Amino acid sequence: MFEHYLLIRTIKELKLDTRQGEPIENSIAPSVQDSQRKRDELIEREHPQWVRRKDTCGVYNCAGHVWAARRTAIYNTEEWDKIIEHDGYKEIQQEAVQPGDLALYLDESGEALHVGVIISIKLLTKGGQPQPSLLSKWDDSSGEFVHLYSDVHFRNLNIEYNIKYYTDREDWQND
Amino acid sequence: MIETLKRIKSEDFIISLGYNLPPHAMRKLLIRTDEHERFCQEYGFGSITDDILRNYVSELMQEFSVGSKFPYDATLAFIAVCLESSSSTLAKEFLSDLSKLKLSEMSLCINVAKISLMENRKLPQLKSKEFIYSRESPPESHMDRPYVSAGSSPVVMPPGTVFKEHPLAA
Repeated sequence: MFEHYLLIRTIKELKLDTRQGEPIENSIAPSVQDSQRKRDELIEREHPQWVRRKDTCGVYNCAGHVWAARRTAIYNTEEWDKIIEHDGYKEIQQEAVQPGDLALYLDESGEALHVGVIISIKLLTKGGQPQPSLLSKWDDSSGEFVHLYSDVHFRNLNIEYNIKYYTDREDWQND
Repeated sequence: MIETLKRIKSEDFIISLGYNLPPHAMRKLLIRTDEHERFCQEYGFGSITDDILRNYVSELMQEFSVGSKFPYDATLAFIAVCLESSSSTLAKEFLSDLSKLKLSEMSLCINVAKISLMENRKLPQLKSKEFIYSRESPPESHMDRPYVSAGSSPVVMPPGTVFKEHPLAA
């Protein structure tokens, strides 16, 4: 059915390895079209608290933003697990997160939905739970947005999710 | 055009899926859509035939352009998820070919098709063999056994062979 397209190869990869030297499967996403720009704007309207940092663009997705410096997309979530393991990330509690740590969103069966970088933490009430804000690139054709950890696009798709927080701070000790 | 096929390539449907989730999560989201149930029923009952689907995919692919995100990436991912539970030749061909593509413009449907292909391979393999009762008289030595021919080659069934209607043949 796709005979003609089997002869074409447009995937461009970067040489990208984990800290342990294992290659990371990646692919540079193509440029976006008007339909993706429109989708980005419509979803943004559903989240009035989001702050847009960057216009709709291709090249990278959420994992490419976090682990590949906005140069490529890492689609396969098995690769995400490999990076977390090989790069020495440790899981931490929400109370302990600091800017630069990561938030990994998982669905009810533990399947990864999204990863973003924490950029600030608000303490809304004294002694209350800290409220991290993140910088997220939602997919390979969205813009970048600053948002509260609980203000995520898949909330509107009725997807139940959990968040795991990770740090690469070597001095951090789990109690 | 069949309403479901119109719907799954519409801007409304594509936007309703939100941003693309990673392939495993996207597959689960697509399975949960109302359109998934409708498509599977229509394909199963034959309202959407293999020919219709072939032409439909071919029309979508006319919008493919090197260097730009394919506008029907989610539509093809949706079809892949719907076909993963089918044993049809077209389903296997669709999933197998799509998962082999190396096109960055269609990353979502290719990655979803890889998962759907694995799911499709887990289905019980239905193997059928057509037996045609021979008009010739069987050799004397085979008179005590059921005697049939498979295509043009006569086959002697082992003693005690029982012919039953396959439950899925009904």
